[in-house]
Amino acid sequence: MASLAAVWFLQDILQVLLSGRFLAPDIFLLYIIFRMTRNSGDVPSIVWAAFAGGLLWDLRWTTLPGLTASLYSLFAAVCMVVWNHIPGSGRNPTLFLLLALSSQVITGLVRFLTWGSSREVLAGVFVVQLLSSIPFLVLAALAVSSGAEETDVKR
Amino acid sequence: MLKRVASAWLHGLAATTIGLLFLAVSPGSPVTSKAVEFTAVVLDFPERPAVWARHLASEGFLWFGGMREMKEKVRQLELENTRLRSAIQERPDLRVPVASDLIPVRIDVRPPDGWWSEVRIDKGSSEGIREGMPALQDGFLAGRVSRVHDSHSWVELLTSTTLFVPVVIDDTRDLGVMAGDGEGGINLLYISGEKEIRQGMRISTAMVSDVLPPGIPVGEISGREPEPEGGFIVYHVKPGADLSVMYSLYILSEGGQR
Repeated sequence: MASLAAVWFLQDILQVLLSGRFLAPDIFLLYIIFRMTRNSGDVPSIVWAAFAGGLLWDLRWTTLPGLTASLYSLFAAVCMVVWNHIPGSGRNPTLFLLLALSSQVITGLVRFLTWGSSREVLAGVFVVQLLSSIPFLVLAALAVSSGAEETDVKR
Repeated sequence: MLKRVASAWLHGLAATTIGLLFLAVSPGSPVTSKAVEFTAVVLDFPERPAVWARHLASEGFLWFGGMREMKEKVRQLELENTRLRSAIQERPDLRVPVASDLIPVRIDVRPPDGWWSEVRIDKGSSEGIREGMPALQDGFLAGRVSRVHDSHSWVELLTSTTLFVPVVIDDTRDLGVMAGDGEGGINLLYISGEKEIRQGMRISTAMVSDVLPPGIPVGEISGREPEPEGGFIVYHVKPGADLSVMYSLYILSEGGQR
């Protein structure tokens, strides 16, 4: 729980630093998906943590309570379903990267479409948000990769 | 595994549904406003180091880039421009007080459900912001401070349907009231159909206003409705401030208030 709060706060701090210009990447959602790869059985703690983090984000930044909360919890659940459907050998960093990248793109896209009349301005913001999420995606994929190797050794 | 998948679906759908319900009932709700304000107040303290870091980085960048002096000069020129426009009218009561100052602020939230109504700025009463102060962009009126908290405030934009600004057409001295349509447009109301108002005529705040100082440039006439309504013509106003692309503002304060 402490790590979730820390990652949420990190995303919040990034948004403070970028406020007025860009949107911070959704690293909280990324971390939720990463946690899911480590403990894919603990459904409530993943989905409802995603919901709580999203709701808090809405209260702080979007002022539309429910928007990010819905997106985060839906993505957490979908990723969990996909991850659990794939056999153990297929649960690799590539799959994680695919899920995490989709979550960043679709979350950003939904937010972008929600903003309505300011879309032209936000197109650049959306692209920068995606680009800024890449280092975090790579780091998380590396962490998943190292975790997968450890699991292989144990097997 | 199937149980796990079913559980993920159930929890996911439940959380998403609750989120969407929140989304449906929250816009415009006073409870939401209070929750948003409360969150901002609670997070104000832990976020402060990041705010300082941003300020330092911004100042450092400007300083090293040789922009700081230029920025200050632009700020002074904008203020001088405002004063001069008042002085031109040769009315002492129209002059912007000499002690006025411009407080630079950054927009940190622009709610999508009130895109043309209000923005949140990153300074509040502790930095001298007071309710009613005019917000300027590029020397033109962009809105008015509507709510003030300790560390942040809200600015109601000219495009808001609830902000009525008494204005004067500079060339003809005709008085009217400006109001937004909530969709990005601004109308000038209560101008008699007999008046000859042309496109391009400039508009500034009027001295009859009890909410804003007089003489602040607002924009220009950009068009009109074809038919009068009750003997009055509705004119369209093109604001001088670009309300679509807005990252920062200047708040016009009186020196003594700061």
